[in-house]
Amino acid sequence: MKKWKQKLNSELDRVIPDLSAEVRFAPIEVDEKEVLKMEKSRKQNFTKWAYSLSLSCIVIVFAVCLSVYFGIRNPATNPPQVGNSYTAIVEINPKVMFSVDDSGKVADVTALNTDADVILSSAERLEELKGIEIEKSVKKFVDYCAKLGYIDLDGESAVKISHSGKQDDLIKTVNSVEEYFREKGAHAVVFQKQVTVEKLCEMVGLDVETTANKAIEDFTRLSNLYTSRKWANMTDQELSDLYNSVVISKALKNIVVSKINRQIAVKDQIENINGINEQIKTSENNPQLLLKDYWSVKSFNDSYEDFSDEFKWLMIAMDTAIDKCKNEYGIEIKGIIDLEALRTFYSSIDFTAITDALERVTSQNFTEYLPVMTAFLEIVGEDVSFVDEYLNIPKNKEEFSKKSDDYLKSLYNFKEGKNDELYNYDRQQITKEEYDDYVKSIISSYGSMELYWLSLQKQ
Amino acid sequence: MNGIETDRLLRLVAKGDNDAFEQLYLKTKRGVYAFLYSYFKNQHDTEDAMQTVYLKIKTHVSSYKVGTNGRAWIFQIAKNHALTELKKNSRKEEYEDKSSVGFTQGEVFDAMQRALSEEEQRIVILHVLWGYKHREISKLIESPIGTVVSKYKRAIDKLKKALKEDNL
Repeated sequence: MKKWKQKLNSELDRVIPDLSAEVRFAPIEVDEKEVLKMEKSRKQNFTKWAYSLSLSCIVIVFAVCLSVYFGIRNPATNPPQVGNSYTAIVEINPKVMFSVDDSGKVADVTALNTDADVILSSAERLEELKGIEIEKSVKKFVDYCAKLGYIDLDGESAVKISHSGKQDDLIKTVNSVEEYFREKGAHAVVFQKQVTVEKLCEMVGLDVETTANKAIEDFTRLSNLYTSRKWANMTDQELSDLYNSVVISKALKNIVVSKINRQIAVKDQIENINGINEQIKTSENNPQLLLKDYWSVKSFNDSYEDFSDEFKWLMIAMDTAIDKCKNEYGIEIKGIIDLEALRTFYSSIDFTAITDALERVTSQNFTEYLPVMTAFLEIVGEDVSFVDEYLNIPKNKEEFSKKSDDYLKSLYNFKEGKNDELYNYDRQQITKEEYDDYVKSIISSYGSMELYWLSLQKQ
Repeated sequence: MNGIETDRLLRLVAKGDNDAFEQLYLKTKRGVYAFLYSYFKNQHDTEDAMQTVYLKIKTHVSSYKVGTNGRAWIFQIAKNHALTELKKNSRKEEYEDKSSVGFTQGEVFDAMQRALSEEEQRIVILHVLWGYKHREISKLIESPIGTVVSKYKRAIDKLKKALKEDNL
């Protein structure tokens, strides 16, 4: 975040007073019927949230080590002649290169960074982008980026197209992408730049002198995935060492630590529930002497009518705490017996040792603490079979390739699921006039589209 | 100020969760304060307005439709209160000097008051402190998106210049 924004935040934190006592202790006007309605609709939505949240704990961890993996792809079997062929590089955050043959159709698509690998990880998707006109192929690719959330359809995004081909084809491609954004109701712009083949060679890491004359042929011979090109020259031992330092010491560590932290959070939540229950039991506003705990009171009067405000809030606080336990941790506490059983279970476990381990563990010493952490997870009933899978270090490039493929595919599915609601949100289409006005305002504010593009890169 | 988080907290407040209300205050106070200040232009009235706005949130939370737009709901309460109070105050004779002359809220905040017009301040506040995208701001203030983009850019340039002149 920029400095002046940070400074503004701290200035406001210093100046803004706390809530007054009058506001703090004012009762909240609760409409019980609405609360019950909310509960029903929230339960329907929560499953989706909980699923995506739990998935993010696992899959997002793998994203940091995607660049480790090595994948082997077969080179293109029918390289096109150099003649009317050309290449276009499309940058959003996934960055890809489209190689276009003499007939004007896309011969191949090559990932230029790991985000592009995620999109091109499926042979099917790759085939869908090939064999069609470039303007259609680029539009499809942009749609994949929007599906996975690489393009913020509600924010300010830009697509850069660097092109070595005919101006007409460039214009068609730009128009096609702009039309896509208007249809989607997205205020995103397209920045186009004509570049030389030499520049394109430089962008993809090919030697200019040896390939300039047959660049298209060489482009299509490149492995489709960025990761596979990056690690092509590593030995099996080097890859194993890298797997150790990245996957085990970082990815596995993050998963194990997050599972332990979750258990600590569950234990704390159980104690929180117990604490509120004790307040309910001992409250002088508890409706009848015989009704001791939260569940007894609730079965007596679950709409909390005629309760004092203070007692009503206690009951609602308990509702919230129990719901949180069920929805976030999957633990349903139906009565005092369940609560006591959980308290007994968690009080029998030594949390001191594991808390101490969490404080001391680092990426470097993680394997020393792994047995203690795994033992703790087993005691609390977590499935730890995934640990062996991680510790199964790939021994050669083929095994790396398989693991890489699996992770790229799972990351695609995760991002697609997470972004599904936003992608399918019904946005109003933008008219051409409104879109053109928007583009003009960008240019007049920033000086040029290129400066706007650069300003977005800095953010 | 995250829209989804605001909605989640309002949902909890609507169920009577006072802790959620306190959290909501912590997460939204910067945006609400700065926005109200752009109307009242002094600390005293802004602080009073803050307390009233949050009291209204508590007392009217049952009218908030969960899952709609929590930020916009809070924004509307703050804006309506500011406009009502200003209308009331314009009819009164003000004997009390409530100006913040001599009192600084902070270099950046003060620079915003000095260098930016009221509308520019609000656009910056809505974007930076409320987290609204430009297209959302254009709907809130009923201004074309191109205008919002240009005014925001101009406001940032003016603010940066003012801060540079203050050696920040």
